[in-house]
Amino acid sequence: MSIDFNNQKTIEAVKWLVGRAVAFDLVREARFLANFLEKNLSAGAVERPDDQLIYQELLAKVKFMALPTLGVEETAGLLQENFTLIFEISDYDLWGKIKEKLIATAKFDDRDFFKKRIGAAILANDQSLTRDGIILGGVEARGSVKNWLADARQTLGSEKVEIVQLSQYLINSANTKKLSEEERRKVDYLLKFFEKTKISSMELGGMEEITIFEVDGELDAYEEGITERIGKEIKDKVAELFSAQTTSEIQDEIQSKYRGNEAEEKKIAAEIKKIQKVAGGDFNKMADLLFRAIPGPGRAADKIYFAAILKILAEEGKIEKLLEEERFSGMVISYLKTKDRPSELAGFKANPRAAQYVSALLQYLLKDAAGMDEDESGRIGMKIFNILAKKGAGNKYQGLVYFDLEKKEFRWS
Amino acid sequence: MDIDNIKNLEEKIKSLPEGKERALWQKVLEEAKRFETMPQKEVEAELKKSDEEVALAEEQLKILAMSKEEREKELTGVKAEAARKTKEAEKEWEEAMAAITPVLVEEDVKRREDEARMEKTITADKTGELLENLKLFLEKKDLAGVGAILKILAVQGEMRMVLNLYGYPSNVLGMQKFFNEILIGDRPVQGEKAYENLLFQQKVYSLEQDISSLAANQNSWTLAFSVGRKGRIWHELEEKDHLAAVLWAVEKIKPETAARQFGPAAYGYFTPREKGNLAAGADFELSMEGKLILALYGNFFEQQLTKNYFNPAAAEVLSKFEKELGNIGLPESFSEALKKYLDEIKNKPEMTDVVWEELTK
Repeated sequence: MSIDFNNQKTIEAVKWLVGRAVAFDLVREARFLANFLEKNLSAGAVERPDDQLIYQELLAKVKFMALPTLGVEETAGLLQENFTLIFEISDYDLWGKIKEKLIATAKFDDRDFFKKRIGAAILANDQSLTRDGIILGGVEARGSVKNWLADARQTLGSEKVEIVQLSQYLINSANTKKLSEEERRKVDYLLKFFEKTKISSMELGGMEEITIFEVDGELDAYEEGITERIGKEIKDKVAELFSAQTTSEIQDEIQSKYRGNEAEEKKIAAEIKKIQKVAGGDFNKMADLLFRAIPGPGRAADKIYFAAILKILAEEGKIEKLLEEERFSGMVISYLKTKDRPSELAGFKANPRAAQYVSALLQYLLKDAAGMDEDESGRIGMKIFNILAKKGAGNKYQGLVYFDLEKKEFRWS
Repeated sequence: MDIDNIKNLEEKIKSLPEGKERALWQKVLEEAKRFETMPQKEVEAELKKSDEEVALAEEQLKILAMSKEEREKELTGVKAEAARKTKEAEKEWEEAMAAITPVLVEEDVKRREDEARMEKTITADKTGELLENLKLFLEKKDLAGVGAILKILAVQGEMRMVLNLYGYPSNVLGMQKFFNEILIGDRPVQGEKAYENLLFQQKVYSLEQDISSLAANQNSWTLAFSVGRKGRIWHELEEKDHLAAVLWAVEKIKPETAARQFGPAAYGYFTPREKGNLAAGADFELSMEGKLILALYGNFFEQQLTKNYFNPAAAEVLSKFEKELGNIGLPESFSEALKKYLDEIKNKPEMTDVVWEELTK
């Protein structure tokens, strides 16, 4: 579909796209727009002179955004014709764009040639920089870019000028006295920019790239002749982020491990539904199902089934009740004996519902009966304890299972 | 303790508390068990080879068994001797580097001249064509051609494509790997070819500095400050130093400018799904650089989002990291502001999509 550049809707659309590329420094988009507008403008696609002016300005703006991709002569032409447009682009960093082009230029003498060329281009720029005129060599002249540069050169000379001298010129020159704050800022920018074009890339002050030097364990950043130490505050912020990153990574790891894999969780959920259908919330039926799930010698247990039934019992607050039944309390006694904890038998008899005995029962059921390892049984154990905590046990079971950070596994205390 | 007596050794290990000493003895036990099953000749050969290692292990154990006071007394003389020897080695290295500096400068000048010459021969402009050219130059091991192409791509903000094409993420680690593995390859800076290889390595790192500097200039912080200098020599920066340099540079930028101009490459990187196949796509990850920037300016950025003055591409990628943004300490309202902003910027003049489609043809 061919586009009608004379249509007001097209103008609005192009303005919107250019505004976006300019506001957000979208170099790629700016390149596309520049090529597109240039091609169509030179093909005579825009009829009305007023519209041509609008498109020309939009073209210049996107060229400023895409400046590092332009050739030397195209850049020089842009600066010679449109330098003052940069003041209409919020926060536009002309030297930053030029610098990018310079860094991409391999040879240092080519860089110097480019700087000289753009210096010459703005020396020839006839755009108005200030509203009022200036006195140049005793004669009234327009406040154009080239006239301001000529005045500064007459006052300060054409060689390199120190920043202090520039500041004095801005304060003391008769021409600058009438300037508004905004205009003074523009003249200041112009003069400083012009000075940069005089410095060779083969001088220390003309080195465009930032180089990081490592000196005695410290970091120094070197840019355009100035060395700056990267301070402790910055290093501390980085160290803090590293530490926070590690903590959050560990938390993520524990959480991910705790959640288990999705397929397994789905199977447990399905099993829970089946068991609930059969047992219908009857504790005795559930206890029977659990007891019958313990496999005989040489037979493998259904781990999912164990996890599901224990979860239901936990949800219904009936895990502890299992210990009132001889068949389950026997398991705890057997567990305590085999784990070299016979001294705890008396304690168990006195207070069978104590947290450590619930833990012993769960360990027997999950590890010895269901055949889970320490890590897997610990993970399920922690889930059951968390359910019990939510159901009113508070922190009774806290710490009975923990996450071993070194081995990255759940473990029973 | 006789190390051949495995049973004794096992007893000893059991008696020790968990810790470094126990771990060391455990290693000795594993070795002893390995030896027991080996033919005698192999055992002798191994023993000879490992004499030095055993001596070192014994020395470590001896030091570990000492009290703090004993250790300090024992190490006083050793420390002074170690420092003296290290300093001498440093001095020799410095002297060698001082001698090589003019050669390195000359090599870099030559690299730049060759690169400038190659640049004039390149007519390609589109990313795809440039990547094809890059492949050819790499096959020919033409560093000047590679440098010229990389710079064109870097100026166009397409380094991400280069790294992803070769299977690397578009972050500083990926960049360092690309330069080391693809450009330098197997050229150790030691042995017979140490000198030639050092010169080549330095040329490559100097090119890497150019590319990385372009990235810094474009606010592509994940690729900025990839190399630095230690004395006269270029070397690749460690992650923490790279991050410190990034933060140093970012702090100089006005937050308003950062909000508008920092695109996705400031906050994260793309990991390719398939090496050699850009069409397979890549996944965006929030980076440490991004987290630093958000920790620094996040609160201000939220205000800019509500004013619709935030980089739209950055908003798009950041909106997918709600949890991570929370981990950095940004409030939920930040993620909400991102969503609202993305909804609002969907409004645009009627013809915009048609014009955009036409100009990107």
